Amino acid sequence: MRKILTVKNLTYKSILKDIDFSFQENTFYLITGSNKCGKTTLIRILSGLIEVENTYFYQNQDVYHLSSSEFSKIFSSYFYNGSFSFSFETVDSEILYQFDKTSYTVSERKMKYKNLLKVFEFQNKVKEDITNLSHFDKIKLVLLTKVIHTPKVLLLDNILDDLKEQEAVKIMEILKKIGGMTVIISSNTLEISYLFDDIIILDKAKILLSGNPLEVLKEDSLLNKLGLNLPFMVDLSIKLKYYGLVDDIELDMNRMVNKLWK
Amino acid sequence: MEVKLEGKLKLKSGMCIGVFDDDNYIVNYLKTINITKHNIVFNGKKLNQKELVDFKKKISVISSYPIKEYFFYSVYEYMKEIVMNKSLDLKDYRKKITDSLKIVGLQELYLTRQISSLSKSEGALLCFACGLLSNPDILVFDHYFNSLDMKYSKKILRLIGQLTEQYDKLIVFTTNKIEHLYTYSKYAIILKEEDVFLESNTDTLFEENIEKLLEDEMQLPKSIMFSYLVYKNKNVKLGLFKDIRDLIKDIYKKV
Repeated sequence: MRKILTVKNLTYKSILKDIDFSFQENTFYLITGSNKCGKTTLIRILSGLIEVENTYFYQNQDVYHLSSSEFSKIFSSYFYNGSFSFSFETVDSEILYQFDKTSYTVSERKMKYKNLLKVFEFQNKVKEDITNLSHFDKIKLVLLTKVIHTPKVLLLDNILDDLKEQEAVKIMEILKKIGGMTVIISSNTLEISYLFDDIIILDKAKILLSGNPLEVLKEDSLLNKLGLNLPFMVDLSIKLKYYGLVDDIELDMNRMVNKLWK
Repeated sequence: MEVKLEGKLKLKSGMCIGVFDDDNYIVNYLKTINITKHNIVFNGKKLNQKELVDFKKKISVISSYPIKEYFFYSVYEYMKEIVMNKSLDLKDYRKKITDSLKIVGLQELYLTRQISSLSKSEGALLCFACGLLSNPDILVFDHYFNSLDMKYSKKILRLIGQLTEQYDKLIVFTTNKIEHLYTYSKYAIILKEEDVFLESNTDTLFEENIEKLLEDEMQLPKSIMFSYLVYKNKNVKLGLFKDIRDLIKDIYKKV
């Protein structure tokens, strides 16, 4: 898979130091670590809010030198901070307003609108007052507006943390169904880390660990020291493996029970 | 101290109460106490209109995000604005501001920090400090632990422990995550459709109501779900443990 974003030698104040990393196309990344490790700062840099020159590249172009229209076509980002600011009252008005910012033809719009409503399960809620939506539906609505213009890179800060696990899983399913994007999400929790293609663990301004989630999560003592709780089944599997009771990580509870008591 | 809301939800001081509240019922209720509509009994006495007005002043609802309209303010300005807006009668408000920050572990140098420059955990601690400014008797942490890692959560719980034990505060945290309810509370209440579905000491609540929770399609903490599946499918009784290491030891004995 092609590299889409490259960070070279990124140092930002005392928050991030010597960060070198490449992000692949159509891949899901989780950036995590203990509180105050620099997750949001890194997402702000990746989304271009914090500008760095000669350090951050989209394919081979310095992001710093992208024009605003190029930038807005490629990137989309959302920083959740406890509340929402929608521009309109109803779901359909909010969505249609975002379409006005794109260059879709009328027929493309219609098709895209229909598809997005289906993927995000808003078909029966188009006329709903946004203030009456649940938190989960509001998160979905925000995401829908952020992917209307089919960005190449979607950056989301803290969007999963207030959701229940099954809601966060649903968000991941929706984003994977849409496809065609590199998705980078920052979170305090490892709850659904196994659903990502790659995890980046930040600590003391640097990348401490990165790679396949199930491999990274095997460093359970290190992650616990950082104050991160492993997902229950991963934690259980790793500890049972030390006792020789299982061979590898098992994510399904029923299968685990059958493995242990044959 | 004891509060009863609408004749159904009873909250007592002396321990940290966790409430599984998917619909945000408690926070919405306490934020909008209507002196003509609401029925609140405080320490055995139903509050009249004037007493309800005074009762509202005893409550602090603490979210984990500072209000975003103040993103350009310094911490000091933000806290001073709260003191002024709530018309708090404080002898020395400047000292109260620094003391409140100190209680939650934020040093005086935070006073000049811009709100927008705070990390999520710093913002959450700031909200806690702001909640202490009015010397409340009742603190409600609104889905507070969602943005905190384990270390910060334990730090907050220690502070909450001190407030409940030494100062007899009534402390409630609301959550939509059953794991938080199980791990962090001593007394647990599960609300369903704005009514009390179950309540008890946390360990007892889950030990004695597994089937009931499953029948009603409510979540179970994962460690309990695992022990339940083992018993249901293999007829092996595992203990119910919060610490996964204790569960592992029990599995090892019984495999």
